[in-house]
Amino acid sequence: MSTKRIMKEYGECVADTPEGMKINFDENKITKWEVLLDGPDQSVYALPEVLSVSVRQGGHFKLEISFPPEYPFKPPVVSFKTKIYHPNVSNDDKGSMCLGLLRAEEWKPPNKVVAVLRLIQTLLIEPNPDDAIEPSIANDYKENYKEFEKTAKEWVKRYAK
Amino acid sequence: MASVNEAPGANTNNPPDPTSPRRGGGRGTGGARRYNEDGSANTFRGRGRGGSRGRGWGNRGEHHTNRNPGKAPVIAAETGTSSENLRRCPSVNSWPSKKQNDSDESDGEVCFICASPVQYTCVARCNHRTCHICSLRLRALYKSKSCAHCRTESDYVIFTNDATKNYDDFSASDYHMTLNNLGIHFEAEEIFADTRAILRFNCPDSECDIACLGWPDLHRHVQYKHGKKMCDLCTRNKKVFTHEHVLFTPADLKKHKRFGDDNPGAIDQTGFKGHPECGFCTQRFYGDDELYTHCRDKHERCHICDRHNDGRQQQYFADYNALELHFRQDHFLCPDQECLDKKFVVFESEMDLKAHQISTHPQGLSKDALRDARRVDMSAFQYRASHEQETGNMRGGGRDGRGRGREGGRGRGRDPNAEPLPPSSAQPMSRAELAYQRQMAIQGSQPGSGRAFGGQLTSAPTPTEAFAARPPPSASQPSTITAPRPPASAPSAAPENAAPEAQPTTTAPRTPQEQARLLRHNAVVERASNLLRNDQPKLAEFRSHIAAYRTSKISATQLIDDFFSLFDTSSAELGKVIKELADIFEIPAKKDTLLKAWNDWKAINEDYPSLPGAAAGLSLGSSISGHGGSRVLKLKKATAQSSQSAVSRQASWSTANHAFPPLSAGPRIGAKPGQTPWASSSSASTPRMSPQPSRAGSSAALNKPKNTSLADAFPALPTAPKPTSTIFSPGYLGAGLRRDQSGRSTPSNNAWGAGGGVGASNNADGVAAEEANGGGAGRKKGNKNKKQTLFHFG
Repeated sequence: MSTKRIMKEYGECVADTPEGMKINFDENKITKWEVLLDGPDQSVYALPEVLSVSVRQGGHFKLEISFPPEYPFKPPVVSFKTKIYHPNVSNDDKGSMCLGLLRAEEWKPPNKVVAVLRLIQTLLIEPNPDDAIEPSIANDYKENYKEFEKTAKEWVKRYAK
Repeated sequence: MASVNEAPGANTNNPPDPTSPRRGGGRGTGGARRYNEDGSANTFRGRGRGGSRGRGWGNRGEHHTNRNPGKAPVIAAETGTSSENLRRCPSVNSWPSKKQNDSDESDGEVCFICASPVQYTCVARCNHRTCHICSLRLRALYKSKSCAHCRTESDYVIFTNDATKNYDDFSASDYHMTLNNLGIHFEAEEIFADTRAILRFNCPDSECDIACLGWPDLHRHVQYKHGKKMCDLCTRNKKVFTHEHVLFTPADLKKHKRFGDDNPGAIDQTGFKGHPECGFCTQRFYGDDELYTHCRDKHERCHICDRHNDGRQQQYFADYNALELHFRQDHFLCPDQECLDKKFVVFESEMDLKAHQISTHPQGLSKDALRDARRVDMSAFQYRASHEQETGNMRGGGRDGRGRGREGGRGRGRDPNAEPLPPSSAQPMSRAELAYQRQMAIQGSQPGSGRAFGGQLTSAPTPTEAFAARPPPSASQPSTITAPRPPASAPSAAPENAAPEAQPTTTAPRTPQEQARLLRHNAVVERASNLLRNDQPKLAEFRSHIAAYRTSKISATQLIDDFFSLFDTSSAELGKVIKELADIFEIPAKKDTLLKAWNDWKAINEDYPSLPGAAAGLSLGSSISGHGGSRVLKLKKATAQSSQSAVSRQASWSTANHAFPPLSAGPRIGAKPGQTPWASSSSASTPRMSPQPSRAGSSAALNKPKNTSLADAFPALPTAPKPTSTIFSPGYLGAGLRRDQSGRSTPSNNAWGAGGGVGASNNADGVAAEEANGGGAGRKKGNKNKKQTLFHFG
């Protein structure tokens, strides 16, 4: 049932992919999208400035968006395949992200994947420590931003090249 | 349309715009802006067509064009059914015919949820529109009455042919029919007929137009007629209409459950990877969430380990006994009986345990003894090394252990143990300590199985034994679990073993066991006779059924079937009888088969999502099941494969509709309007309704009143075991809660808080522990101070 809707959304995403994103779409696995996301320039997830300005890019983060069979009545599931130091992304092998409109009770069927993608981008620029999945990172972010920034950048260098 | 108002991030509270811009000339633009919140403006193409055409339309005018039958033949021709006069499908039909054939998202009116063309429009109070299928899905299956767009609750929505008319412009006279339980007004008969057809228990086979009486009937039907099965977990949990379920051969079903039936590349691929299984129970669950809930409720996790790996790898233990074993092996469990009873009194390090013991169980310790007990002897740290192998890998660094580990949430007392460094906190027994230990030992000496203090320490009167001086925990468990255990696990429980028979053969109970058995037996009989309203012949029948089962004349399944016809009551009541009955069977095999049969029965007969419309009219449903005919098949195809073929979908949607004789809804609504408000049916009436389908109409009719009266009849049957709740003793729950908290936010407070609470109040119930948690900060400080005095290094 969701197939049609997913296909439609993919069409829309292709037509209007948010900047710094690339969607790898596999027709054999339309319920699992792989998204390549560059850390937004404004965020700590951009690659450090050691690189020359011209090639300066964000870290490359790989995400997976999987659509449950009940989609669009249930929200898609977003997970970071690339490790990221972020209060809203679980610091484990799942890298799951669950907040805002991705929560089951917040999700509304008309919501679109594009909106989800934009939400992710926004969150990279501005984490939401009050709705954190990783309290310790959130704490870092709130109370020791320097440290947070440092670690986040380190992780970008280490994992997200 | 009102969705224009929606702003990202403020989705929930937006009041719907009562003056829908759609009605004016704004239809097209409104459509274009519908998805503002998503950031993509061009999505609602279906509406978008209004942009090109509709700007100047008067809504009514359009409405009339829609009804122009002139467009219908195109569809009729495709489908081979004639329906000119009935077919008023607005959006599709009003389109130039050439577009109908290749209509897809870009052409026909498309539902913004399912991306399929809209056949009938559903208008909610907030004037947001969806296709009627999606609305029905939300209302009937997801039990949600809120608008998909703005979450405005609508007690009623209108299924209409009119794609533009506002909710408020409908008047009562516009409704052909109303379904009160779902809260749907139908503008026209064919909409109602189509809707009702979807709600029936249609056979999933695309060639079969049978509508069954209910889940059991449907399961039977697919089994016998098609030789297929339906996935039990899916039928109970998956929110799809009956005919959208999948039929499996037994082999396929196994594969479906284990690996899923994803079909990569296919048009119907789902990405489904199978139903996850609980490793302890070898029971499968619909999805990860269900499995998680199960594990959370039925199994245990170690809060200490969780704290250390941040809940990463979630390791569960089958039950508290297994967890306690783990506590003994890998952590420091307080061996005091009181603490064992209380459960979860366990510490990350021996030092913590000792501190706990000093503060909580200082019985009879002299001042000197206490002081000496606080001494940390650096030379005795050896034992760690051995310990480390078991648990070593999960801690962080921190060689100073105590001082540092304390502060951080994780790794608090853990660190010293983790360290390969020999010197750290274990104590050799000082003289006074030994005295203390002996004292403990005297209080109740039994060799414990766990290791309390490291093995190396054993040259002295083994502290292991001294500390574990109370009866081993396994023996003590039952004292907290006073409620009867779940029957399935009960074979070993003492009383049942002694009891010979379900039937009253013994009259004079001599042993307590027999007495207990008799008591239980009486409870069963009393319950049964209550249910049968003291109808002696029936009671005799009841007994004879049991006797037959006991002597293996009939199978457990038969027995349950017999019961069901005999008792003519809700399955919940029947379940109680059967569980109680199972309890008094002394032969484990008999009891297990009975319980299993009952579970199977339940699996088939209830717990399914109720389909209110259909369920209500089952008795009538049978009459039409034979001649549902092509219409049903098409409807089925339409929803089931809406994603697949636009052309066939449309064709099917616009086919003939010989209205079915009013099924469920008709009589029911007439009879008791508003009697089953939809919301309540989801929770309250579901358990009652779902089993009914398996019975004839008469029992369905009887059940309702009787249920209530029965409930009144025995409000108090204290002996009746509540099968699920008995699994958890209050103590367990309390502790579980506490553990949960500790896992997350207040990692370090807990053990201390709990310990402090114990010491202060000696209050054994879990609430105290909770409070202790709350007051953890204060106590923690106190404890900390104490702890500092604990260590006189040197």
